[in-house]
Amino acid sequence: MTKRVFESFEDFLLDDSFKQYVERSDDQSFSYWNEWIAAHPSLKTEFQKAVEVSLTLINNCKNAINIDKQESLKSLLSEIEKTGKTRPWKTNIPKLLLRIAAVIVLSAGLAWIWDVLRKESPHMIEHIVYNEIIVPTGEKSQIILSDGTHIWINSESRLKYPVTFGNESRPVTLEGEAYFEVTKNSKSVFTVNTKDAEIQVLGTAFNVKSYPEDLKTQTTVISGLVKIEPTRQNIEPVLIKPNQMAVISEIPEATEAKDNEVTPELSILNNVNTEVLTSWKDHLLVFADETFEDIAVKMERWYNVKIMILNDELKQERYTGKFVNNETVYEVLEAIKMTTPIVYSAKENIISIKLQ
Amino acid sequence: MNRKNPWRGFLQGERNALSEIFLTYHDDLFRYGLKLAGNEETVKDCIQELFLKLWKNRDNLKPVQNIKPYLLKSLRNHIIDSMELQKQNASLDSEIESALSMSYTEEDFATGNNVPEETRLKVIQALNKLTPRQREIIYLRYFEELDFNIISQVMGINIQSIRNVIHRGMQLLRDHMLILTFLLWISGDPVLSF
Repeated sequence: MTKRVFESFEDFLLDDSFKQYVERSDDQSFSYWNEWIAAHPSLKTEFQKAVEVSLTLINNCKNAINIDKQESLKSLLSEIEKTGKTRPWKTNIPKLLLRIAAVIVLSAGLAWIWDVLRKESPHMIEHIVYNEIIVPTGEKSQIILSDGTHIWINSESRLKYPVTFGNESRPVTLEGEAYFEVTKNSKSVFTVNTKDAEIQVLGTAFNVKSYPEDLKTQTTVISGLVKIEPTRQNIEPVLIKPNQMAVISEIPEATEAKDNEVTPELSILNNVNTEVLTSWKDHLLVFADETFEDIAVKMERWYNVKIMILNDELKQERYTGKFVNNETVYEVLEAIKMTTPIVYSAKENIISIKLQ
Repeated sequence: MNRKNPWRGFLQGERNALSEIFLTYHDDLFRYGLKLAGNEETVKDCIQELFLKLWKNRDNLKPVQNIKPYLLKSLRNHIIDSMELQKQNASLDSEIESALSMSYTEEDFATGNNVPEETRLKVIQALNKLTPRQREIIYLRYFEELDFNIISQVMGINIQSIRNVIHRGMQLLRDHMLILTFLLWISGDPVLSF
């Protein structure tokens, strides 16, 4: 029994044992509350009111349902019959064998289904041809897809997309960073597949950053609504709005690093500076109070160099700055040198930096 | 434990377990879904889609001890998703909550049971003056008989917030009932006619 203070109507209604008392579902609660009200006569009116409201709420009716659930189940099962044929395997076969078998069965199955479908409905199925854009370090690219969607692709990124979109969906796959201005089509969901999440929109502008080595996927919305459907089952999908950023992190929180399991976390940041985050597409290299360590990663991708910071305290220094693309990496370093006494040396494309 | 948890069978791909789960929880899911979405056809489709999705993804699903809250939560998410995707074009800043607007009718509560009819009608009226979130918590607590801990899981809100929201809700409920009593008193009408 909880030792709480009961003074008013809502205190009673919030209490579980009070609910049991009104329901008479628990002897202990029943005698407890009988004694309690005998001991607190001043609260009798409140108590009585709470009992009446509680009784009303408890005596709710489960209204009859107009749906025949047996019928519904039948149609569910037949639906499953239609889709479920591709997975007849059992779980106790060694996993590796299973995977190999799955690949073979799947390929054979796909070929077979492809064949059958083509024979049955030659007009319904379009053959999907994918293109892939690979943007090397130090470069940026842009593309306009068949539906008019405009995509800017940042350095060290690859984007896979169908040459033409089908009617029902518009899927692309991204590794790295890209900025999307998706043409609105309420009948066809535009989906960006990344390693950590499926990002779904109907027509919006947003930025996705999902580099494999970053161990996270950041989605920032500039306009419209974006739905994030994490790949991992244990994270719930979320909807994010303009100026929000969803971060799915593959690294567990430092405080609760348990076992070796990688536990991805989803967090949402509000009021992010979208201008800074998307400045790369306008060829502006912008740092907004970022650590030198993070800036170095950006510069590596931007200028196609390798940067080594030799002092740990230097890695944590924070800088704010804005550069246009035609400045060289050395000009950026010189700018940093104006505030922090650093020396740097370059060999081929490896730049090492340390404090003076 | 004299019965096998049907969820385990479900995960192993047993059709019987699927049928058992579907038939056991269908009505609760349907009533809750109907309160949320307000349209029978939508809810019927959502339940079908939900089970189909769960079945297809069963290899990736986790064991679940308590099936009912898990399904209620999944259905809730599914309904929100389908509603949100529908109206995504309509307005950019539409709140998820506004999509889920439950209302209570007289049919939801039984007469008699030592409760004055006047109180019953006042409770129903007052309930509909609460926020959608407060109404939903009350639904889950009294219609689905879930405790606050489970409600917080179903709605994806932490338990302290649930307590705060419902505490405010109950205060409002009492205030509305007082106002209704007052109106009744000045109108001198023994039968409620709002």
